[in-house]
Amino acid sequence: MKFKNSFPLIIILILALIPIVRWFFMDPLSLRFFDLNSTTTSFGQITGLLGMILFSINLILSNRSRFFDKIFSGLHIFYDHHKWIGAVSFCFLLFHPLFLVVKYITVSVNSAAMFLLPGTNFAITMGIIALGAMIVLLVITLYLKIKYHIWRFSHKFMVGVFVFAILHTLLISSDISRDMFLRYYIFIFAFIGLAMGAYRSFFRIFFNKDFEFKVVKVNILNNSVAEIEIEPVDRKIEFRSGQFIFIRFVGVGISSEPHPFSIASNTGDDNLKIVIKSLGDYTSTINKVIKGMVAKVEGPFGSFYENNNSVKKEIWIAGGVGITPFLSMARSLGNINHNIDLYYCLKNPSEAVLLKELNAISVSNTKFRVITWYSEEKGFINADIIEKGSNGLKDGVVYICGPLPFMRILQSQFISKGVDKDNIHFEEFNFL
Amino acid sequence: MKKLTGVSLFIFFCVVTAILTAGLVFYQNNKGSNLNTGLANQNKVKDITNLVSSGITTLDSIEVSKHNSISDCWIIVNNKVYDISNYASSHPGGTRNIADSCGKESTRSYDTKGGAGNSHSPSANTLLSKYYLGNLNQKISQNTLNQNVKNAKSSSGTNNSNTTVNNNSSNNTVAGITPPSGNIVLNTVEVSKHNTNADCWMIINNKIYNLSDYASAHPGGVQNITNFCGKEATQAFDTKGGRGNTHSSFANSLLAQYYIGDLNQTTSQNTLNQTIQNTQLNPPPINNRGNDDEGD
Repeated sequence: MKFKNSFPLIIILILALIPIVRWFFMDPLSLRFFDLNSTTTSFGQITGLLGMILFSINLILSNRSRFFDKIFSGLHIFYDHHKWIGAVSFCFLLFHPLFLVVKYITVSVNSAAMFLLPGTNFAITMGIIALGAMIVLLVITLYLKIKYHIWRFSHKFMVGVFVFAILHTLLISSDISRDMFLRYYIFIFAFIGLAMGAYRSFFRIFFNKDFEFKVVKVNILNNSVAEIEIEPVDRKIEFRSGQFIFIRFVGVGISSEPHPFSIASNTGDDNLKIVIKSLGDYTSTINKVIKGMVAKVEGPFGSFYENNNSVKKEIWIAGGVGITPFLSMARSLGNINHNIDLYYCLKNPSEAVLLKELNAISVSNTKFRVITWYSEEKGFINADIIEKGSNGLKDGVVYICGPLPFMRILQSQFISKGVDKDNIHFEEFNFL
Repeated sequence: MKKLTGVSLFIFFCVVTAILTAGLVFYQNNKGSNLNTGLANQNKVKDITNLVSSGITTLDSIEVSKHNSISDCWIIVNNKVYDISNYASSHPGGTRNIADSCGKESTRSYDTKGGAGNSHSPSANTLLSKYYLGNLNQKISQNTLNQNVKNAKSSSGTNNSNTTVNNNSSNNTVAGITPPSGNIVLNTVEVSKHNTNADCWMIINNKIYNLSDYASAHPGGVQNITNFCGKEATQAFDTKGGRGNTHSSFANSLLAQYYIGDLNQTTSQNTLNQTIQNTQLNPPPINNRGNDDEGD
C-alpha cells in the first residue's frame, strides 16, 4: 500500500499523537513505568487513547466527499487510509484491556477474570460491549466473504459500537480522565466522529445532498451491456471526462446502495450516460432499470484524465467494459494537436459496444485512432504491440482502464520499457 | 493488514480465554485450598476424633443453622464450617452482611461479596481460615468441637505477619497451637517482606504502617498504593506521588490508624500481632468501593 501523497497521513498522525504527548507530560515518567503493574497500566492507557482518537478520525474518514477526493489524490487512497486506520485502531483497542488486566493478575487470576467480565462497573461494561461488538463487525468485514450489500449494512453498526465506546470513555474514572485537556480533546473528536459517522451511515439520505436524476433511456448494447441515460431533475453535474459517480437507483428489484460508474457522456451534455455490464450481484439487476426511474447521484469523483495539450502523445487502453471513461473522453474531444490512440481490447467482436460511434469520432478527428484488439484472434495485448502500433512510447502518456490484472500487467510492461510511472494512469474505481 | 489484525485477535482471544478459564473454572476447584486451613488441620481433627469417642456431633446444615445470630454465628463456605461470631463487627463490608449469613450456606455470598461482584481477597481467605471448625457433615467429637470453637472465638482477625499472603498461601497456624513469640526488628528488610496488596507495609516518616487491603479504597487509585508496598514511601505520600499536593489532614489521621511501629524498633511478635490486630479492626472507609476506581 503506497500513499502518493503523505500529507493527510501526517496530519492524522499528528492529531493522534497530541493526546499521547500530553499524557507523557502529565505525570513523572518514573511513576508511569515503575514496575510491571505501572508499566502495563500505562500501556493500557496509551492504547486506549490511541484507539479512541483513531476510531474518531476514522469515522470522519468514512465520509467520502469531493474535498477528500482531492486531498487524498483519489478516493481509493482515501478508503485505503480508512481501512488501515481502522485496522490499527482495532489492534490498539484489543491490547487495551490486555495491558490493563495485568495488575489484576498479580493479585489473583480470579480478580483478573472479574475485570474482564461485565459487572458492577458500568463504564467497564460499556467498554466490554463496545469491544465485543467491534470484534464481531470487524471479523465480518475482514475475514468473512458475504454479499456486499449485507456487509455494507453490517458496517453501519460501527457507529453503534462507537456510542458504547464514548460512554466508556466518558464515564471511566482514571488519572487521564481527570485531565481537562485530554477530556476536551478526546470528546471533541469523538463527537465530530460520531456526527459524521451517523450522517454517512444513517442520515445522509434525508439531507438530499445527492443530485436527483431520472432515467430517460435504456439502450441495450448487447445481451449483457446497457447504456443508461439519465436526465437531471433539478441541478446538473459539472464533470470532467474520465470521472465517475456513485449512483443509486430507486426502484423495485434494485438494491438501493450506491455503486460507482464511470461517466460515459460528453462533458457538454446535461444528461449523463453510464454503461453497465452485468457482472455481479448488483449489476445483474440492470435489466430492472426502466425509463422514468429515479436515480440519485453523488459526485463527480476521480482524476483519471487530465487533458493537457502540452502532451505529445496519448495512448488509451480499454479492456472490456473499461471502455466507459474513454467514451466520455472521446465524445468530449475538441481540437487536439497530438495523436491519441485508443486500443479497445476485447475477447471478440460481439463484445464491442458503441464501436460505431467511436469509429465515427475517429473519422471526424484524424488525430484520434481506434484500434480494436480481439484476444481470441490475436492473443492478449501487450506493451510491445502497443509500442509498434503507436510508433514508440517516447513522450507518451498512458491511460488504462479495465480488469485489475489487465491493468497491472500492462503497467509493469510499460515500466520495464522505460515509461515513467507518473505517465501511467489508472481508472481508480476498480480499487474501490 | 489482515495479518496484523489476525495476530492481534489471536493474542487477544488466547489471553482472555486463559484468564477466564483459570480465573473462573480453576478458581472454583481450588477454592478449598485458598481457604486452606491445611490438610494438617483436617488430619489433626480426625486424629483427635479417633481418640475421643464421647459426644459425637455432625456438623451438618441443621447444626449450623442453630448458630444464626450475630453473637453466635456459624457459616458454611465451600463445605467448611466457620464460627465467625467474633469477627462480625470487624468485617469491612459491615456487620449486616455477616448477620444476613449467620447459620447459613454462604459460599455464593462470600464469593461474590453478596452479589456486589468480586470475590474476597487472599488475606480475607486466610483470615476466614482461622475461624474454621470442621468440614460440612463431618462427625466431630464434642471435645474437639469445643476446642475449635474456643480457638475461633479467640481468633480476632490477625493475619500472622510471617505468612506470605498470596493465592498459594497456607496458614501455618493449626487450631489449638499458639503462634511462636520472639523479638522482631521492624527494619527495612522486614518491611520489604510485606510488599503485596494483601500484605502491605509502608514506611512514611520513619513510621511503619500496615495498609493491607487498603489499596482498593485509596481515592488516588490502587496502583499508587501497591507501587509502594514494602517500601519507603515518605516522598510519595508527601507529594501524592510527585503530583505536588500533600495528603489532607483527614488522610493523615486515617493513616495514623494503621500505625504498627517505628522504623528499626524492636518489638515482640505478640505485641506486633496485637498491634496489627488493631489495624485490622479499623477497616478503611468503604464509600468508594466498586464504582470508579477501576479505570487506572
